[in-house]
Amino acid sequence: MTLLTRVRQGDAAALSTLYRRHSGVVFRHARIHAPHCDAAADATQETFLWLATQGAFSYDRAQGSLAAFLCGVVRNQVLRIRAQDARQPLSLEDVEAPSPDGDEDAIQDALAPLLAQERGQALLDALRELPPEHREVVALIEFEEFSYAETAAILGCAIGTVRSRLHRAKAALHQRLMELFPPERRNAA
Amino acid sequence: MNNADSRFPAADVHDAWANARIAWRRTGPPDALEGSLLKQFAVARTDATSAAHPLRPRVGGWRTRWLFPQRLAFAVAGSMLLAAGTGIGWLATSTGRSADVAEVTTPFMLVAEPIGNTLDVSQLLRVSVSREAMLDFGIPVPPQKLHEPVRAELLLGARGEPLAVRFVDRPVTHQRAIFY
Repeated sequence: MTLLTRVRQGDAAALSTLYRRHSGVVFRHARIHAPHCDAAADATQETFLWLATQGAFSYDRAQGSLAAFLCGVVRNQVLRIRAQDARQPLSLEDVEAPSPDGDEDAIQDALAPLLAQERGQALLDALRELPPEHREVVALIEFEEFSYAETAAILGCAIGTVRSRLHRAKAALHQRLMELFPPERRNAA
Repeated sequence: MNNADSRFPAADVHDAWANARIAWRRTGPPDALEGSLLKQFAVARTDATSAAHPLRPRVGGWRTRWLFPQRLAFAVAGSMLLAAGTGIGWLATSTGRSADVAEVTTPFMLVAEPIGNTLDVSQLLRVSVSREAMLDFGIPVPPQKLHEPVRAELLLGARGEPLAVRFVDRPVTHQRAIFY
């Protein structure tokens, strides 16, 4: 018996398992469009609650993975929250990329990991400056490792659109990295 | 890009992406969210309807209702029959309400099964719907167009029941380049 079948029958443990398996990717995708972290959490909860009460019947395995399906749902949830939330414009400060919490100090102990992380963090910072539609494509494909087809299904657009957005986004990110890490600085490092 | 790549070694780019991926994936929902979700789920389960009867799948979502090929074919055939049979002329007036403003419309899509392959249309209604409302049906909406309305035309029956719908795109305001 699949987890979804058990969720349909009201099994809270099955819902908990599904949540622990997919909540990370769903929450991170919600944060791309959410005006603030609480809105992303609300959208994540609404998504899983919807899945548990009626969405489990709507999911068709042939249409893609459950994670991709949930990302599409949470995207709609966040957009609805944004529309209801006094029609606030998207703030880059509010949708800042995830920052490491307690273990940042441990990484800074050694020089090499520090430099490596600096580049990664610079890339995340540059990602924040991209338009949302480019940001979400990079996040879904490069970070969450969804396929082009799954990403297109999540975003409701053509695969070609996904490819072109990703190409433009990566070009912009690469350019930004070049500005932040010029050759002389890298050689010195 | 090739120029840039030659100045920025592939290993550095790879490291940057790998570390960004690690940092990105480190974020998760708040710990309290799972407890809140399960509490809400328990409330939903204790609801009389959900407790007494298992939830049924939704039938007739927008995909099956509007995009099902047979129904779409019915919609096209129905709209053609309607235009030819009744000769009311509303079809012509709705596709071009004035001579200088053209509109792009989709074919009519049935929202109810026709009786005897004919539509008993008594009224054409033009509506404007918020895209935000479409989110409720799982229809993808580009964020930048969230506040733009969607215009549609509804065919209503004698009792006001909706029979078919089609979408109307915004008026094309550009001028024709060739006159004949």
